Amino acid sequence: MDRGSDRVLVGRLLRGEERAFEEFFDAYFPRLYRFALARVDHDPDAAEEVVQATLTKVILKLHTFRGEAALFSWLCTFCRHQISAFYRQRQRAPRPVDLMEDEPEVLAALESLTMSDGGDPQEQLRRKELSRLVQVTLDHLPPRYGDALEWKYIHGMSVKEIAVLLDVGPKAAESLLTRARHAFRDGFGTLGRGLAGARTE
Amino acid sequence: MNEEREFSTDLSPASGDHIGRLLRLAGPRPAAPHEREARVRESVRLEWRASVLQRRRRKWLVGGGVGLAAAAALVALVGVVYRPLATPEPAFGGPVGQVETVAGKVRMRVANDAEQVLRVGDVITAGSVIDTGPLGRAAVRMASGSSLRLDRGTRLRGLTDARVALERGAVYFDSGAAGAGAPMEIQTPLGVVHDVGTQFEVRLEGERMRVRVREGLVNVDRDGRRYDAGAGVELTVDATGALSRRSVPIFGPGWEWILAVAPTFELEGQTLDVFLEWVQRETGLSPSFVDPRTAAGAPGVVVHGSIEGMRPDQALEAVLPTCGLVHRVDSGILVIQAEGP
Repeated sequence: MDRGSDRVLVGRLLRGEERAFEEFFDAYFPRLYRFALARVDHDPDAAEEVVQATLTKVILKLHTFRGEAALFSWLCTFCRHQISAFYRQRQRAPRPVDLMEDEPEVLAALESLTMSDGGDPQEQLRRKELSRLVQVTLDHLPPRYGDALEWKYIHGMSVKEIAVLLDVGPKAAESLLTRARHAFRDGFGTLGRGLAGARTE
Repeated sequence: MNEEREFSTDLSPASGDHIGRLLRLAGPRPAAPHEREARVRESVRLEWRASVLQRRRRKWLVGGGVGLAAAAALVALVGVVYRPLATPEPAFGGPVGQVETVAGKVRMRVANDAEQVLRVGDVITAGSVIDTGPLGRAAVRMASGSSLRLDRGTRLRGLTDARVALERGAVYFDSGAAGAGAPMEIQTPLGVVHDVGTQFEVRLEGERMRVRVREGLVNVDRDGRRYDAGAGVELTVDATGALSRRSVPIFGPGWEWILAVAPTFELEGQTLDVFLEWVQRETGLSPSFVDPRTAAGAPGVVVHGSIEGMRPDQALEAVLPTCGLVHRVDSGILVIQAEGP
């Protein structure tokens, strides 16, 4: 989904289309939930509360969405505010979390790409962090791109099967997969280079 | 060590099937638990439908406004169109308000005996029973625009936009500045309280009902008689019907609990005087500038940022210094002055 289709979706939500609500919720709730969960110390009750409050706020502010940022980035901004409010209301500071997309430490974790499998806890931790970065990258792609890549590479589905799930023809599915691979490569590479640069500064 | 190793984010086709390898290594993204997703979906859907309806109504009214200017004949038509919108009588089970703030576990039971733990954004349905339990508190924004707050140990029954039965505990009702919200009737075993555009608290304490008024006027009906109470007055009625009256401050510790669930004020882009009006409404403290020039400038001072999650008194501590101001509280007056050199 590009910025244009984000705006279209928001327009449909503002007009009250039930199907648009389902599309919006299906596409963004799981990603926002993962986003929140990683930032509230993996407390599922807190993540649910934060995401519900975030989406409630978002619903009331939908008319202000201009499409200058991707819809998911826009939602994340609300979610970050809500997480701060969540901790303020409980009068406690958020427990510090080392998120690869938030911290320059990503470089070390990314380096595990070139390292062999090992049993030591440090490396396992790096691999876990790397996995999270991959998943975060997928979450930041247009929803259909992330899903198609997962179906293809993790679940081993054929292009034909993916085409059925996406409700498009096989050619369109192939083309979407190509675009998804490019988007993932660009996103993951940019993130890695950006964070690597930040680390060497 | 890291500096010596060549770091690569090369995922180009020439570098092999790195994307597939990476994705398999990472595994599928964890899904949100189904029951959590279902709960949030239903709650957000209700909120979304309410917002769509509200937007449509607003459009209708704006259209009506244009019509008003165009022709006198249309005035009557517009009046007919929006009168039912201005005073909606919710059908049983229809939305009457929405949770703005919640602390602790607050439960709502609806017509079919289904029970839910309330969260911010949940829609309150007509006829429901709300119980804050021993540790919960909540603030509900009524469809009329009024604010209803529930203290710990409170149980409400049959809430509609116009009346509610208080079975135990305490509620605080704020019909909004200039009494913008619709009137509310609070029924208790010890009398019925009607607001006349005001801020007040009704509390049941054993065999007594205590009504304290912060602003405006309330009427208390008991045994066929009506008693009035204005700002700064507390009426106490006991089970025998005996009534006592005394003066109480409209600020201070007795009103503290309502601050704990005060709805958030959207600070960004507001002017200082609007922010102070909100603080006054929530705390009962009257702002007073030491320097009249500072007072005159307040409507032109635009404040920025977010005070989400802060109580009004905490917000004051956070916002005034950003305007180069300090404050102190003196006998119900919020004294504000420029920071010293």
